[in-house]
Amino acid sequence: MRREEILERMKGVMEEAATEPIDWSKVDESSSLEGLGFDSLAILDVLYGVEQEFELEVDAEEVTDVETLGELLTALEERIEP
Amino acid sequence: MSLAGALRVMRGVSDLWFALDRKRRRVAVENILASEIVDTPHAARRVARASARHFGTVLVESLKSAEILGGERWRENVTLEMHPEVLAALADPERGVLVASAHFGNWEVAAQILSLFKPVVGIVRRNSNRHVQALLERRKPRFRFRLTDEWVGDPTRFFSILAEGRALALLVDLDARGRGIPVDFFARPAATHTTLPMLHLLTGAPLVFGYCLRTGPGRFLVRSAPLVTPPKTGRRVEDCRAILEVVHQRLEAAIRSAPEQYLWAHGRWKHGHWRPGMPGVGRGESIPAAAAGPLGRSSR
Repeated sequence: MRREEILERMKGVMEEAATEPIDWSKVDESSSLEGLGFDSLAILDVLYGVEQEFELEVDAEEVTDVETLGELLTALEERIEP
Repeated sequence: MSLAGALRVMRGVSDLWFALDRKRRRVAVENILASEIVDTPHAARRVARASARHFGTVLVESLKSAEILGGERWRENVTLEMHPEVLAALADPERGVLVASAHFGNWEVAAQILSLFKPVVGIVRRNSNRHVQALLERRKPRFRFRLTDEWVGDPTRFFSILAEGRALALLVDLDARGRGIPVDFFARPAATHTTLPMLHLLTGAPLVFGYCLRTGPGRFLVRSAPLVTPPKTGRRVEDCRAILEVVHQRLEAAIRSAPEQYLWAHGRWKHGHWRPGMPGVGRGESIPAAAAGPLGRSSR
């Protein structure tokens, strides 16, 4: 699966978990999760949504240091089936 | 001031607060009646008054915790009744543990006693009263227990805390407003945060429910049942609800054993689609469809 496609599907997951309105046209890989309003509680919903969307199990240790959407993509990219 | 003196003063302050704060008093009495722990307004008011006094002792004994627990004094003042599974989980320095408790007994002292076994981070909601919040922020961490705000900071820090082998403690009886799922509490749906079950499902960290019952001035009984391990279906809402139902059942049993030690004056059912006085949902009746589904966007 191409990274751009994963990013778009990830945005869909995040949109469902978002706690405040986000202009998704301005969101890219450099966007900070915290800057987008994803606090510690919302990020749990995102990760669970990722598990459902991509049918994988998120390893919590892999996402411990993640700060941006791009870093989250990188952490998950290898785990997502092509 | 001695502990005994401070408790005497606080008893008077608590009685005054109970007499003056009509709104909180009404909420407490309504919640007690809704729980069906007692069945008359007179009895409910008696429990509410005892609960107000108990909350005063929680404040005093929390502020005096170094005096009560410091050095080896905790061995004299605290009785431990903890399941071997829980003791084993706490004894493993490599493994983080999720600890669920509630506004029952003395939750602050509970966390401090827990920190004798493992470093503890308590997740707290910012207090709406700025004076109380300022007091909380001024307090120094005690033993190996510190607090973290649930809303700010590094979004993945909860994982870090667990990965470092620390305990992450949460109070499960906070009203989740629009960010939770309805889970029965005393047979009434109450909006409940999914943070605890989600962390358990994502990290696999052992999940403990425990509490610290007050048995006398400066004396406590810390109790925990076996680890919470309901079967998992892979469906988020169902799995979260199953975990929270077990936790709520254990909490209800604890509260029934000492109802005056529960903080009844907070709006536990405020956003659970059901509130005291609302018709249509009684013990043994089905929950309306609106209450049966998840709340808000965070609960698909």
